[in-house]
Formats: sequence, C-alpha cells, structure tokens
Amino acid sequence: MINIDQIRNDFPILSRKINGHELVYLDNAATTHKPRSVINSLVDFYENHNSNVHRGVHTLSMEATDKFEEAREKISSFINSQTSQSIIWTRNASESLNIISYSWGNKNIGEGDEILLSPMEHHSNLIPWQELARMKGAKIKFLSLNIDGTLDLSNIDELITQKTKLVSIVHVSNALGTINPVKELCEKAHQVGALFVLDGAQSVPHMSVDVQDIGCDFFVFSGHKMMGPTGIGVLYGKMEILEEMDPVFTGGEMVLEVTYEKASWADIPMKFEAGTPNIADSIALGTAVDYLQNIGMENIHDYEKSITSYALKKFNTLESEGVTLFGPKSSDQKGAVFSFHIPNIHPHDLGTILDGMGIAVRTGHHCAMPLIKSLGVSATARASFYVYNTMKEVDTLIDGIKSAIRYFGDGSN
Amino acid sequence: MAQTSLDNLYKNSIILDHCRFPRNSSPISKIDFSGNAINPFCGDEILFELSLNDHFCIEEIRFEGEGCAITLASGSMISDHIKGMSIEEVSVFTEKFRLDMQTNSCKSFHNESDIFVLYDVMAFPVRIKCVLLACSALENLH
Repeated sequence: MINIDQIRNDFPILSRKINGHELVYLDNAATTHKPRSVINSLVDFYENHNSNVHRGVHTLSMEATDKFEEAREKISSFINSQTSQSIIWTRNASESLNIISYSWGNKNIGEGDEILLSPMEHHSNLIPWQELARMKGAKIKFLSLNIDGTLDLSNIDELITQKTKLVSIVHVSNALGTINPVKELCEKAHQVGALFVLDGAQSVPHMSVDVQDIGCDFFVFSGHKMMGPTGIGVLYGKMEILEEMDPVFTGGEMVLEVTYEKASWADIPMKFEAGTPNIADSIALGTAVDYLQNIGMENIHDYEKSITSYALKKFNTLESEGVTLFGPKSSDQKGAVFSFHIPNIHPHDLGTILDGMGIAVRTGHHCAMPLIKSLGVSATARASFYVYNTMKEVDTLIDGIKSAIRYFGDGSN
Repeated sequence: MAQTSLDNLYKNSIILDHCRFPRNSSPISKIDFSGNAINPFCGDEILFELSLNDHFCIEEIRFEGEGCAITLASGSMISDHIKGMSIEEVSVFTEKFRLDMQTNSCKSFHNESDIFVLYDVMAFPVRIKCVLLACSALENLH
C-alpha cells in the first residue's frame, strides 16, 4: 500500500491555501504538480552541472551529457523501449505527433490513403492528421463511440482496410477518462500493414506502459503530466521506422558532416533533435520517472482505481440533482477523470465557485471540441485526480458541487 | 476574500437575474446592424441585432448568447444600457467600458444601469473576458 500523507509531503504546492481554503487540486489531466525531488533536480543542474551537451571535453559538459543521456535511459526503461535510441526528446506530445505527421506522414501518406482516429482525440492527435490529409488528399475516418464513452469496435473491420495507412488513438481520454483497448487496435492496424500511433499523455503518468507488449509503432507523451517539468516531451518510435524518416528540424546537433553545399544526418535519436536540447528539463523528467517508479506504477494505478470507484459512487448520488457524468461508469474502463455537466450552471461559473472553495477543476472543451459538441454541451467541468489526491478530496468536490447547485438554484448557500 | 467577492458576483445579485431572464431577447422588426463575437477558448458566443430610428439612434435591440452567467448577464445588461444610443455612442461606450475593466482605473458607469455590477468581476481577472465578449460583439457591428 502507498502512504498518501508521505506522498503529499513531497509536493510543496499542496500545502498552499487557495482563497482561504486548503488546495484541492483536481486539474491533473491539464498538468500535475512536481515533487520536491524534481524541483531540486532543476536547481541542482543549474547550480552544479550547467553546460551544453555532446560538444565539450570539459568536466561540466561531460557531466551534463551523462545526466542527459541517463535521463533518456530512464525513459526508455520506463516504457520498456527496445533501446534508448528510440527515445526522442520533444517539447510535448503535440510536438511528437507533429513530427510523425510531418516526417513519416509526408513521406508515406498519399492521395486516397486513409487515417483512422477515434472521436475522442485531443486536438493534438486530430489537427496534425487533418493538415496532412488536406495536403496529401488523404482521408480521415473515425471509429464510433458507444453511449458510455467507450469505443465501438463492432464495425472495425469495415473501418480498417487495405487503404488504412495509419491508426492513431489516445490511450486514455483526457475528456472522458476512457481507457482504450489499444493492444487490440494495434493488432488490427498491423493486420492491414498500417502503423499504430499511441497518444500516451494521459496513460503513462497513471499506469504501467510497455510499448513492446502493446506493439505500437510510435508512443508520445508529455513530461509535465507525469510530475516532470513543462516543455519536455517524448517521441518513442520503432528504430526501423525512425531510420527511414527524415528530420523535421535541421541545424546544430543533428548532423554528421556538413559542407557549404549539403549535410548528412547524425544517428537516431540526434537526427531528430536539432539545436541545444532542453537539458535541465529532460534530466528533471528522469527524476520524475525515479519518483514514480519508487512508488510503483502498479501501486499508482491501483490507488487511482480505488479513487475512481469511490468518485463514481459519489457522482451517482448527484444524478438526482440532474448532474450528468460523461464517459464509462466502471473503474476498469476509466481513469480518474470526471467530466460532468450540471443543468443551468455553466461550467465556468461552477469553476469560479469551486475555486472560491479552493477546488481547482478545468472547465471548457478540454481541447476536444468535436467530442464535447457530440455530447450535446458546449463545455464541461472536469475533475482529474492523481496519486496525491485523497478520498476526502472526492468528498470536498461533491460537497462543492452540491453547494454550487444550491447557489444557483435558490440563491442560498 | 473570494467568498465575499463570490457573493457579490453571484449570490442574490442582479447578475443571476439577467442570466436567468435575459433582457431584449425577442425578435425585432428590422435589423439595421448586427455583430457577434466568439471566445475561442470557451466557445461562448454573443450576438446583437439592432434597428435605428429616424435620428439614427437604437430603437430596438435583440441580444442572444450562449455561455456562462457572466457572459449572458453582461450581454443582457449592455443591451439595456445602449438602447437609445447612436452607433458612435455605442463605440465610445465600448471603448470606455473596456478600458475600465482592463485597467481597473475608473468605474465610468456606476450609476446609470445594471452594468455597474459587472465591475465586481474585476476581482476575478480570468473572467473579465466573459464581460467583454459583449463589447467585442458590439465592436463588430456592421
């Protein structure tokens, strides 16, 4: 079992008061807080090891390079990549997906080809493919959604055909919490020779992910959603695919040999990492991985599952007040993400009222505009939990929602 | 702090009344000008339609909105406030009101109509854009 009090003590920001109340931070799908070790890692790098990487013979440069590459190794083993060369540093999951689209997509997608997505994709896993399809005359198809927010795979064999060149799916939906059957989808994609891209931004912080077991060709995620710093993300790709891809960005660091006329590319991963990389944040992301592994991904997943079960029960009691909870209703199919709608209270007003109680939730379309529209609302409120949240915070949220309903219902508090 | 401000903002306030019962929501006989604005971050939307009389002043106005209480109340209040103004006066109003809200330097309209309560929103900087969506719609009149 994990010790939540001990974990909470590792996060300095959790002792902050917001509007006179203890902070109840339920916006973890947007970004997570950082443990002291991650913050210290940034300070330690700049105070003791700051230097550029891969280009100096002096001590600091060697230390910085070692730490930077050690962080890559940590990420690699965290997702069970075959080799750390498959780990490319990016700014975030969005940039990783754009690199796949611009590099692999440009070369391999042609007129009439099909790209299959789910209807619950974050804009980051929708727009790069829209742009690619527009430029190439390719077609985007979408899987269907069951009423409970899970994917409907009954017509999958009609949707994945010989024309399908790429299937790109979110592992865990940031808007509904749905955990998708990605191994099955990956197999289906491979049966027709299509590549399978997996957006792990909301999965890798919360559960154990094994890219070899899933079999995905690409896996992308952002550091800041897994206790790491902002501005650092990861693109994992299978080596044989990365080998065939051209770099999207060119310049320093990513070359083997340069003349005034032309250049040849460095080996993977540096071929895709033009310019001085985000050294300090990469190293701190490695520290975040240490922190997560120290708790244990299985423990994190189990604990969050119990939060999900508890919160589902609690949300159930709000049904009589007209509150609609979107997404699956079972903790086996859903991460700890709760998107909901209350009649006659706009999510922004709810967000402001909850903030007055120290409760941070996200309101809006969660960068999934078409999905939110298909739910029949213009926006939802979303509470998303992490391993440092408590059952008591579920109660605080539910009480806050009830109080907001009274607020707007009859003006009493 | 926030609870007191929240009380100002929502509880028993004119804001909730405007949000629940928006003024000037009936269709008007003719449309001389219309303007809308969308907040791309939240999807809130406001539309104004208006007709002018022989003196080129607003005779009829219709307001339609989709969004949070602040957006809707602001649209409703402002639709009341600008009735009878010329298009030029509307433009002077939006400029002055926008400046008030954004700089917190002065409350130019504290006595004239319900819009004075919108100044309470300044305690919630992130929601000022909800108040000003109506101004953006009026700035788009054509």
